Amino acid sequence: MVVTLDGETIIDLKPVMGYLHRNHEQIGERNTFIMNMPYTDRLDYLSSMSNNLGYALTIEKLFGLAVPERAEWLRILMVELTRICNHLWALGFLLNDLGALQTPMLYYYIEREMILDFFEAAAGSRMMCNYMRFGGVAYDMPDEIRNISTIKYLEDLIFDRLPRALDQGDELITNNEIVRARSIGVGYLSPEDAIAFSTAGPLLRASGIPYDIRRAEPYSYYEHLDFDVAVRYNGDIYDRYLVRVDEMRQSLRILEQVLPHLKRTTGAPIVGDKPQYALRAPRAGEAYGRVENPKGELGFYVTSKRRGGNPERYHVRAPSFINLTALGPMCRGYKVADAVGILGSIDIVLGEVDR
Amino acid sequence: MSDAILEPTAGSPDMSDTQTPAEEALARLKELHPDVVSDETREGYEGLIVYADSITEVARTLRDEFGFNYLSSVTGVDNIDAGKLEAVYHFYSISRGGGALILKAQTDRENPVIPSLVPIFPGADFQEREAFDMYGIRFTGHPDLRRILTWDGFDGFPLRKDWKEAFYEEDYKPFGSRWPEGRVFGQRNEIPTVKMSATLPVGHRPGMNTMWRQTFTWVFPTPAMRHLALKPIK
Repeated sequence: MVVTLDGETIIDLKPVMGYLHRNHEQIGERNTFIMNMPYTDRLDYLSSMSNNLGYALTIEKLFGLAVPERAEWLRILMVELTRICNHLWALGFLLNDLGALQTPMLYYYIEREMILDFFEAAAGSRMMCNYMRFGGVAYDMPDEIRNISTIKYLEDLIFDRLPRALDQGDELITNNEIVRARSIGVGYLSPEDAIAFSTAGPLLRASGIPYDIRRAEPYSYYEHLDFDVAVRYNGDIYDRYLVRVDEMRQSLRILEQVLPHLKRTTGAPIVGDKPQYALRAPRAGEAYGRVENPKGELGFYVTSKRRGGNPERYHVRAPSFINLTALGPMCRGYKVADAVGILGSIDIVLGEVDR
Repeated sequence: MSDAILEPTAGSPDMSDTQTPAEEALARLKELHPDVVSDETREGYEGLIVYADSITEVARTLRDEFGFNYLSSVTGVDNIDAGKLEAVYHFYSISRGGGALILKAQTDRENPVIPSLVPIFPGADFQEREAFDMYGIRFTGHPDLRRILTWDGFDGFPLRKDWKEAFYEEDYKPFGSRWPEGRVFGQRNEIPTVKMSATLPVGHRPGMNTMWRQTFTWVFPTPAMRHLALKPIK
């Protein structure tokens, strides 16, 4: 960041990026369609499952593939767990930036580890999951995790541990005097600006815009699920914190509804019967698929030639990258120390900013 | 929840009879700006092709009259077969939801110029800079059009289809360089520079000569760093 200061007051702030640039898009154009799937894990490496879903949806749109029912429930299960996982991480670091060093972060991490253990058992990897496939998912749920049956493990997690962890976090942080002093009224972003700067995700919803792609343009089975769009109206750091906490509670609500369907569909197919590896585009054309990632709207723009084995153009609309546009205007007029907290409240991951 | 909804979902959603907000806006856009917009004729592609110079006018109509106030994505596409560079815009309506309204502005590859949307949608700022960085599309009216992901002084536009990675993909040797003239820092005229020139010994391998014989210029960004060049570091 290049910051222009007057004393300690920020007059102007310009983010400088590109230090993790790997030319993701050009490598994506060189790869075959399926080869990009593990590569999307490396975009926002904290929520690889959601990235997989975004890419899978785009290619399914381009190819016109159908997804079996159990695969959809598994996808929602994974994506909502990822959302919780990501927000726990984000809040831990936000609080770290605001001066609540280590303690809340480590409290949140205990629960995050439980989710990552589940990912490891299901997908083979804790963070670089590479779990989704075009027209389904790669593996079914494992039978047991740590000698506990998987359903029991998930029930423990969803009905008991995670709600308790959120309540504990609330008790510890939400009414904490220092957190409130550092965050209320800091980093204000008006609703008009939030839209104009194309911000997405918790940043947009904390400014009072109830825009969630799971509701605005539903994908997967989200239109059949019962949940609320978390929204807060003050547009400061504190509200972004609260929106994330609310969202985790809503994710738990979704997960509670998903579990019975997973039990009901045990043994059903999890992927279509189309071969995955030598996939060629049935038609020329373009597709833009987008999902509500934990950090905001993740979009993939893919074009292909007819019978093409790899994308002609592969573009990633990365939420962290575009949310950074609003960083400068949000910081203007606040102190240098606030800039750290404001950046933390956007919740960026540089793998996605620089691509 | 009834079991009826649990049929496998097709990847591409089935369009019902009712017009989506995007379709409705597209139809009205064609009525309002018949001269500057034309239908996308390529098979499998959606949206409208807008005459590049009128993109700001059309975008303003979209935002102010049709409520498509959210510019989600701006990106470049190199359509090398047609000799065109394209900017692709995805607009959404926050209040009405629904799918994307896609606009495309085409410009020729030799002199790619498209007016910037930053005055209307400030969120296009970084994305236009990225398209400039990767494709060399110059967005006129952009307040700060610099490279964003690669470094200042990078030579070429890496996402163009005819771009070749320096050193690795060159057709012939000696290789080109991503550091033209050996500049490590982006050289700017206003910064006083200290030049240290040295011609390295010429080797005898004919292909390598030109590569090694070039003069290396080290540019130090501030005068305060001059002593680094003049004094040997102890």
